[in-house]
Order: sequence, then C-alpha cells, then structure tokens
Amino acid sequence: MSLGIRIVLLLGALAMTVFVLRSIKKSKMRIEDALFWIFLSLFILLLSIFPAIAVIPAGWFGFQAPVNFVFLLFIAILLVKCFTMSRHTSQLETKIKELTQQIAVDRLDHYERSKRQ
Amino acid sequence: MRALLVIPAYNEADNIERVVDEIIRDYPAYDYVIVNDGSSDATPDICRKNGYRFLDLPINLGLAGAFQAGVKYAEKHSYDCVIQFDADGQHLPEYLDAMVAGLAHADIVLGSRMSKEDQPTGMRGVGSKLLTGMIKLTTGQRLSDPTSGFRAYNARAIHELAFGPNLGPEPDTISYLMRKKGLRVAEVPVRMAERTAGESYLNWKSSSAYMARMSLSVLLIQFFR
Repeated sequence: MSLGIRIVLLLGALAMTVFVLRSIKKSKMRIEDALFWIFLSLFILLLSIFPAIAVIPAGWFGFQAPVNFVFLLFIAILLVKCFTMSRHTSQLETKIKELTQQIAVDRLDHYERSKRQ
Repeated sequence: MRALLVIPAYNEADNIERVVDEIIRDYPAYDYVIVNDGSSDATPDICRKNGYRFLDLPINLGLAGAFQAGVKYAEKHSYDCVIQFDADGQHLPEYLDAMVAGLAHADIVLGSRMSKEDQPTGMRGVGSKLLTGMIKLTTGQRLSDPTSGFRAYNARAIHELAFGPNLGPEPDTISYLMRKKGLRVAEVPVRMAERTAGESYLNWKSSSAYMARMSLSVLLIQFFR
C-alpha cells in the first residue's frame, strides 16, 4: 500500500475515534453500540501502521493490489453492519407497536373501570 | 358466542358515526371497539362525544397494528370471535350473522365478493386473481376473494393473531395460518358497498408495493417462518 493511503487511513481512524468518543461523552450513544465503531477505528489504525495485515491476505486470494482487498473487506463489514441495524430497527418498530397497543388497551380498560364505579 | 367488531379508523370522521350508529341501533348483539389509529382529524373527538368504545392509539401504526390492538383487547376480554369491520361503510352489517355462523366449522371466515359484478375490476382484479392463484399453489385451497377485509376469526385465530410482528390482517397471514397452524378457512358470499365519503388509501405506488410484499410473503418467506 502506498504511503498516501496509509496516511489517509491513519487520519481517518483518528478522526473516527475522536468522533465516537465525543458522542459517548455527550450521551448521544450507548457504549454497547459504540464498541463496534471503536474496534473498527482501532482496526483501521492498525492497518495503516502494519499494512501487512492487508498485503498478505491480498496475496493469498490473488488480488491485483492490496488496496482492492481493503475496499472489499470494508464493503463486507459495512453490509453486515447494515443488515444487523436493519434487523435492530425492525425489533424497535415491533416494540413501539406493542407499547402503543398496550397503552391503548390499558387506557380503555382504565376508563371503563372508572365509569362503572 | 361473544362477538367483537374491531373497527380500525384512520381519519374516518366523515364515515364513523353513520357506520357505528347503525351497528349500535340495529345489531345490539354485537360488541364493537373502534381503533383510532392516531387520526389527525376529528375521529377521536367524535368517538368521545358519542361515548363510543374506542382504543386510542397515541401514534399511527397502520392497519396491521391498529387491527392487532383490537385483537389484543378481544383476547384480554375473552371474546369468542373477532370480526374485522371497515370504518368507511364498505362492509354491510347484514352479513354479520352469516359470518359468525360460518365459524361453526372454520377458524377464519372470509366475506367474499363472489358474484361477477361485485368482484374487483381492473388492476385490483388482476392482483386479486394472482393472490388467489398463489394461495391455491401453497395451501391447496381456493379463496375467491383473498383481499376482502371483511373477516371473522374464532378464539383460536384470535390467540394466533394477538402477538407477533408479521400478523397483519392480510392474505399472507391467512395463508400462513392455514399452512403452518392448520387453521380452517371458509368463505361466505357477501356484497360490499361503495365508499360514500373519504378517500381510499390505495394508489399505484402503494398497490405495487402491496402486491410485491404479498407475493414474496406467500410464495417464499412463508416457508421459513
């Protein structure tokens, strides 16, 4: 990998770490959810310092340039993350739906009980 | 048999009084509960003013979530039967007795538009026939009017429908309950009225999305549930 790419990765990883940590500090993000991003920026940091992490597997799989392997790897990581987030959103929607229904049923029951008394 | 009409209502201020008053006046044997699905018009005010029994959802959930709220209410109060009833006056209460009678030998009764002049025409008709074919393919039973929203469910079906994320009152749920849960479905011939006020939520975009979702659900996803 060229020195240019390594510098970009290094700066990107540093900026990302600062951004994630600041989000936690401002209570915008739960630590559970931030862990993924912290590990990811750590990984990018390592990659920029030790390019062998990408160069060696790129050779195994026959990539023409290690940077292509890096692109593919990150696309794969982001696809998985995107899917898990989509699943998480679904679960949240279901929870909101259940809560909404429960609130409505409880309110009607409460109203009817108070009317009878 | 204690039967509950579940009437989902989203911005139905123009229709709701006429529909509900007719049930209260002419069909007192049936309990009803309106589900106000976070309407932005006067629907909840009208319900309150007239003393209707209604579930007031604080946010809009869509038809599936609104109907399920009514089903939860029915389950909690141990009703034997839930009838899905439109707030726009499309469903005619004169068929209620026939629908409930149909539950004697089925778990779900569909009120189907069977005669030729009642069946949906144009693109809706095509969609309806496609769904009939898909359900026949996967369950072996022919349902002549799968998109009819006039349905009756017995206690067993209520129990299946009350909890869970993918159980909207739609054809794919019916075919899922038939295939995986062994529920028996019967049809009762009904006629339906035209809408007299308000606007149908159906348009080109939503109809295509609906058909895509139903086809995928009936033909593929069902086998993994």
